[in-house]
Amino acid sequence: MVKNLNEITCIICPLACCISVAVDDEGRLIEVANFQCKEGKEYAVAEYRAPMRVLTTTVIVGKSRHALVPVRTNRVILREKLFDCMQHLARIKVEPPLMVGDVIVRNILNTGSDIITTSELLD
Amino acid sequence: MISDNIDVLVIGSGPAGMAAAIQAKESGSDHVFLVERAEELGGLLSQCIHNGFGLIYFNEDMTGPEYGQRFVEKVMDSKIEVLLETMVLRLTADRKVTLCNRNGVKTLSPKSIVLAMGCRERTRESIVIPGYRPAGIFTAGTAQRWVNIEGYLPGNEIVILGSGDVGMIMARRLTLEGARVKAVVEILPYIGGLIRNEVQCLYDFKIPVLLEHTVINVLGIQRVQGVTVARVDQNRNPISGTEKSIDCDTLLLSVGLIPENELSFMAGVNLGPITGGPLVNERMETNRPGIFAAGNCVHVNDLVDNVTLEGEKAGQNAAEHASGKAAPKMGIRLEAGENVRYVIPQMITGEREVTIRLRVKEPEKGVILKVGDIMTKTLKVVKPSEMLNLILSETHLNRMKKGTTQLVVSCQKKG
Repeated sequence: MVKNLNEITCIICPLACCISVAVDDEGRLIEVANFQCKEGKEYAVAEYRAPMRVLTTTVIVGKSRHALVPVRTNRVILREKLFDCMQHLARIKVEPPLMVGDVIVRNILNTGSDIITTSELLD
Repeated sequence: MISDNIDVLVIGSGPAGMAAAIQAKESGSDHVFLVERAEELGGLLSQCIHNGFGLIYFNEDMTGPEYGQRFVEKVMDSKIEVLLETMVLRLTADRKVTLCNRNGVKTLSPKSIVLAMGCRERTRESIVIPGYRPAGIFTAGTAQRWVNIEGYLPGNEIVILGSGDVGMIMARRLTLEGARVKAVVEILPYIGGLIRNEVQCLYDFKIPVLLEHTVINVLGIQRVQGVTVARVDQNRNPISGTEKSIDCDTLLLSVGLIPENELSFMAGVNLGPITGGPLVNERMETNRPGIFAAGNCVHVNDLVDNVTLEGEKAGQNAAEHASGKAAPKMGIRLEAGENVRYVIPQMITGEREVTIRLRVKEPEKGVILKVGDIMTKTLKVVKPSEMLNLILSETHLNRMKKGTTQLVVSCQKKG
């Protein structure tokens, strides 16, 4: 059994613990160390296994005095999917009127997350 | 037609101004004016499309536009008089406000004023970077407006000087939009912004960080072709022999924010040498009676939620002043002591619970925060980038000896 150490910087609080997550060659958890709270330990393991992020970006707008409308994923997605989602959204064009929270893309790239607007676009 | 029977006039409609106007109205002022020079309410929130807003105030993770929208709707619903595309040209100590918009110039005399002008970015000129003056040098906030509102990419190969939050957020944003961020250069030995931005904007995208480095030259005549960076010593002076060039077509500056206070200065409002903003008491009132201030024009905040809370406090007290209620005496001065850069507010009554905010000078682990001899608090870590909030309760304040006029706030290393 080989021990692989991974260092995760915790973002739960300003302490910013550098938490080490040790796993064996099959990715099974051996040990978590250098954390100061339960939330930090959970964060580090989750962050090691599958870092999740909110994507915030913009989508091109046609027939409007605005060039873009800001959007985000309505739940977190895998960090590794961020660029795929950007590529997908680069081909999307929307038109007014749009309200805050309108769905632009449903279940983008099967992430389970919708792309929604974060600003209204009336004209 | 603008009437001249105004209770509270708020200058600036960013998060501080909107909160102040809404709270003034809710505190009983009939005639509240909100003056904004841009075409829309909300200030800079519209270009801050990233999330992380509202975690404290709404207990939700929101983007800037979403956070702003909540307040814009409230302003619209609460019969506040909104003057868009209106510039305040002059403000006097006795609260005469000269406005200019497409209807002309007019001078008003509101009973109370709230200053909520926000802050602006330091530029290349304010940090004096040598070298040519080619195209391709922008503040991070300008780049943010281009990318998020106008739909332009400022360049393809980017170097960012300064690791404040806006700089890190733009590093991520530009990377996602296909630009290559070749380095974030920071003169201090640590990152200047919040830890979540360090992780999610820099580490996530493997963006190279050069700590204790600065840009000492800009190359290129028509357009930026590169920058020269060098390591700095303890006095932040470049070390000869450590220079290296980085090819790039764009240099973004995220080198600090300055509270915007030309109007405050005109009105004879006392400004703090450290914060660059008005000195305020616990009512967010300046030395000029009836002139209140809130948000980033007072001191540069790291979280919008705190800006909103300050705005609400200023708005409420501006309404009280307008109603003719006598102001309580502010008898206790708060002074910044060891490892404390500044404290807000600077004056308190000492008679009722008050929230004070402070920023430390240097990062430190294992510290004791002291307010005079009436309160101590141990903290595992303090950082200049994370503002500290402390509640001084009546129990704490009752510990003050009679005749106390000053409390020193200090942050000492334990043991």
